[in-house]
Amino acid sequence: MITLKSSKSHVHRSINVFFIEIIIALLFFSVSGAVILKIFAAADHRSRKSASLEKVILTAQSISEVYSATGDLKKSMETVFGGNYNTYDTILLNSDCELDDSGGITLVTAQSRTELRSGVISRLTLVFSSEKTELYSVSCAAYIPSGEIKAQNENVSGTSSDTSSEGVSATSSENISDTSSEGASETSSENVSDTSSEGVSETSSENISDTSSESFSQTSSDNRGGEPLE
Amino acid sequence: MNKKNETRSSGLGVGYVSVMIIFVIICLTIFAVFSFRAANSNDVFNERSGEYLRQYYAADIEAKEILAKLDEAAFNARSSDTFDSGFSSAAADMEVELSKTPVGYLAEYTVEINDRQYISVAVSFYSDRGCEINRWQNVSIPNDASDQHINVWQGN
Repeated sequence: MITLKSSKSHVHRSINVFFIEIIIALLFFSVSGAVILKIFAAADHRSRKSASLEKVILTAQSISEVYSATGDLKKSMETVFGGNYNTYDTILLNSDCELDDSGGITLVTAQSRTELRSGVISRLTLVFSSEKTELYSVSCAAYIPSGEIKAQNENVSGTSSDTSSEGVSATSSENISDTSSEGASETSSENVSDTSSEGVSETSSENISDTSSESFSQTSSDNRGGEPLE
Repeated sequence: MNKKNETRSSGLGVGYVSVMIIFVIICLTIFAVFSFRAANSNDVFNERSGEYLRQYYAADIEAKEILAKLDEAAFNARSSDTFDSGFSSAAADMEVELSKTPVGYLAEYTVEINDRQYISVAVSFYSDRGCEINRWQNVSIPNDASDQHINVWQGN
């Protein structure tokens, strides 16, 4: 009888200890689980941020590459995003860096052009921001010798009389891609001097800044880069 | 009989739960740390990539500005009918290596991207027409450390 009582009390004691242990273990698990969840959440946040930054960088690189080759903002944007738009000062993008008016990423472009007698050097600054926080920014430049500008103007004026504005931009785009910087060698010296006196000087003087390097910081409020020099 | 009762009642003994919980927490902690490290290294990689892109285009802008200045100098020299002297004197002010060619000048210059790479440019300027870009290339600066061997015992 005594032995039965003692065994029962022993079982009760071990059950109590077992439950106390479970309670302590659960408490410990819940505390450490919260910390672990926080680490997982931080990793997920960082991963999303990283993926977004990667897409932004790739988009910036794509735009910069096209712009460096052509000096044409409109063509750069159309090549990267597709479509035909009137203004590229501020563009709304979604998290995949696709054009989307309800997107969370804002792309602001600032373009400045410096006119030289031998050609035009244009600079573009791209600023990607999200919720007023800058995600990424990069600046690039293009130098278009006057020989190429004249070739573009000739092609545009040759086709613009019959075609709509879309046709003009398409024609100029083709010409830009055909005449790379190496194409400048094909221009005769007469053509170069003609272009500097006619083609470039006819470009609207309000839009093109002076040849000083300070003009780099100037922000364009209109779509200068997209329009071929006429 | 008593012994049988004791063994039966003990079931999942005291301490097993703690061990299991500790094991699970250690596993979860390791997974969490690894996933955070993976995300962090990816983020760092992207930031470096973005920084490199910025450095590259900064150097590209500088190289294009030098090209524009040289082209302007060539244009002015061509207009003044003294291309050789005019262009060479104008280019002498810039950090450009000039060499005479039968049809004009070959200008070569480099612009540093970062401490590991630079842009190497070669442009031909003709006395009777515009310019032609012969080379616009990213070049890696050879790392001296990679050529050095680890100082190990040679066995003698």
